[in-house]
Amino acid sequence: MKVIVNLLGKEVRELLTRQMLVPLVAIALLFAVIGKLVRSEQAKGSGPHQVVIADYDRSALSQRIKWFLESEHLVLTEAQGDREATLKQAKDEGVNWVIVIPKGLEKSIEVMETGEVEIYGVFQGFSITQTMKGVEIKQLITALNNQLAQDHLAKVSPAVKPKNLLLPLRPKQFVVVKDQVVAGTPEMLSEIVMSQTFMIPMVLMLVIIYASQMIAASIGQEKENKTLETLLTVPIDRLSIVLGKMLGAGLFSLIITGVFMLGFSYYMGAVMGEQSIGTNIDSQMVNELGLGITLQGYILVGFALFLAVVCALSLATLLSVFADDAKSAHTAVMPVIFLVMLPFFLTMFFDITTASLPVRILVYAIPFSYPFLVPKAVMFGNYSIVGFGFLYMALFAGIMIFLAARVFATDRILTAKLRLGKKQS
Amino acid sequence: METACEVRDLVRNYGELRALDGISFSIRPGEIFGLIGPNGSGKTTTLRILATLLRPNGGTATVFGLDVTRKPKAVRRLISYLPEDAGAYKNLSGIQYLKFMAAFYARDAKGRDQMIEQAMKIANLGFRIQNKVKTYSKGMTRKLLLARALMMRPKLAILDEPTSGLDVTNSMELRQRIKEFARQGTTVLLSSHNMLEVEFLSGRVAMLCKGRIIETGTPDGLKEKYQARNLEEAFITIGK
Repeated sequence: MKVIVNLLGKEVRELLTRQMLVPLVAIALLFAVIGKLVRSEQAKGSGPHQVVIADYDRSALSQRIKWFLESEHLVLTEAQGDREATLKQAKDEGVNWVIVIPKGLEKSIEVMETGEVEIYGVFQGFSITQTMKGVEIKQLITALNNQLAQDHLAKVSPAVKPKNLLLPLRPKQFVVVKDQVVAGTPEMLSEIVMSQTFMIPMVLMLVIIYASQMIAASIGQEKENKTLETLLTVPIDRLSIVLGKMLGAGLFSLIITGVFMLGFSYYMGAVMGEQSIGTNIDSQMVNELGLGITLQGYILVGFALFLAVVCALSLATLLSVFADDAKSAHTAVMPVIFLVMLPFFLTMFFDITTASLPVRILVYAIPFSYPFLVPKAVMFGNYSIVGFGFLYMALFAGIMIFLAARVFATDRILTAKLRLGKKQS
Repeated sequence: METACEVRDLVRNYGELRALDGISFSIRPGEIFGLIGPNGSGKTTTLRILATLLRPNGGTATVFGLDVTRKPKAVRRLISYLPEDAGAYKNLSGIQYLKFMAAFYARDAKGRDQMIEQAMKIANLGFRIQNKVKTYSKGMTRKLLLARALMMRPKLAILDEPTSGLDVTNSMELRQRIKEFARQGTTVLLSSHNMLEVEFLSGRVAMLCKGRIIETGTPDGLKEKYQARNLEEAFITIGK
């Protein structure tokens, strides 16, 4: 234990450098700054929405349209001239949207013909906020259309409710989960699952990428600087060297991920705003379906993450051993990153439990699949996959650590480099 | 009488290349024994086998009676190895590096402090011992590494090109340190392609060429035998 603590202390001192800290803090700050900018842009976007309106109809209907838009928090400025002058007015006043109500609109509607309302987006630059406002205006016109359609239907068939004519079929959706039947849509269910597992893939990807790269850098540098040769001749167990390196890389990857996620979550909070995943979740549906992850569930998810990191570290250690230097060590651990990305995408698009046998075998054979599978398995009470995943990951990590220690104990750690063509005296 | 190091018919291959082709030599306790030869002659491979880093493909090598392949852990307690062109951990200060390495050998804090004190004397880096290794010159790093190799007073110090890349002053200083330690009882096995250095340091030498030992003896004995002014001339005569 004393030996591992000594080795860990060295790893920490070697890794904790200004070169490592500055970019890390800078990235976290960058996310925070971008998040703040997005927040301020959204604040602007959520303010009163200015629209220039040109009413050439001057009718009761055009007045109704204006009242409706104002009731929906649009700030209307009346245009004075023709279309060209109106567009110029909007441009001069920095207003992005123009609505033109043409002459004769009311007459057309009264005789149950269609009338056109023109909507102009005045772009003097481009922003997503402006585009979103355009969508809002279209939605308002659709709502207005609905009202007018109901007016028409009331005139044509006063005995029938207009809504019944507009929506003769009304879907009533249910989801069945764990033998529970609850009113709701698959989209709602998907949102519940996403809300509770959203951050896990992000955290896992980052931790594993950082951990693999850290251990690769550590072993690569030791080989490059020949400090490894010295270390291998000191009277300590080679397994201690492997564990010391894994602990150092694991610790730092967790710290880096923690700092990174702090900045990222601030950024996501700003970007998603009210649209953030899980906001619209029906908590009653979560309770009825028993899909909330309990404290014990989170402990299981955390343990799956921990085992996946140990698997990544042990596999990266084994792969780095065969590299010549720090540069080639980074390349050597690329398979680890690939093995994380594959289940990430597969589990995102497939329900693995119902996937074809080859896909299932592939996913279950990759140890990094389980942190993606475990949260959903915990939610749906499928504990057999959780237990199997833990056993498999523990076994995989154990074998990898054993192999890494074996390679460290033999001269392959040095001869792998020799076989790549370097001459020895 | 116990030998410090006994090498018998040692063979080592790297794929098709035979780096060592059945070399044999023995070293007495307290002796400075030099391996000399041109680049690629097998010096580093021999030292790496004795330092338990490489396994031989044939033959045996023992350190104070312990077989390096069968009892590598026990051998590591007796030896200290200084690789050629080795570095130290760049983000550690000199003193942190010494403390890190001493912790593997010392039984307690007192023993560790004694080793560090000893190392600081050998390295003789003054206040720079507190600075990070990445700020050191090549000579300073080599002194630090030699101090690390000798601070625990190993029974056998294996030094690969100990003064490689150093200027005359630093080389002289390091040679003096090595001699001092040998006088105090440490057996030294060193390699160099600088035959004059080996002649100055070693009690006996083995000349290697293409993985074979072509001659063994004292520097004076070899010079006399081949009527050479120095070991370089003797080596060239033998090589013919």
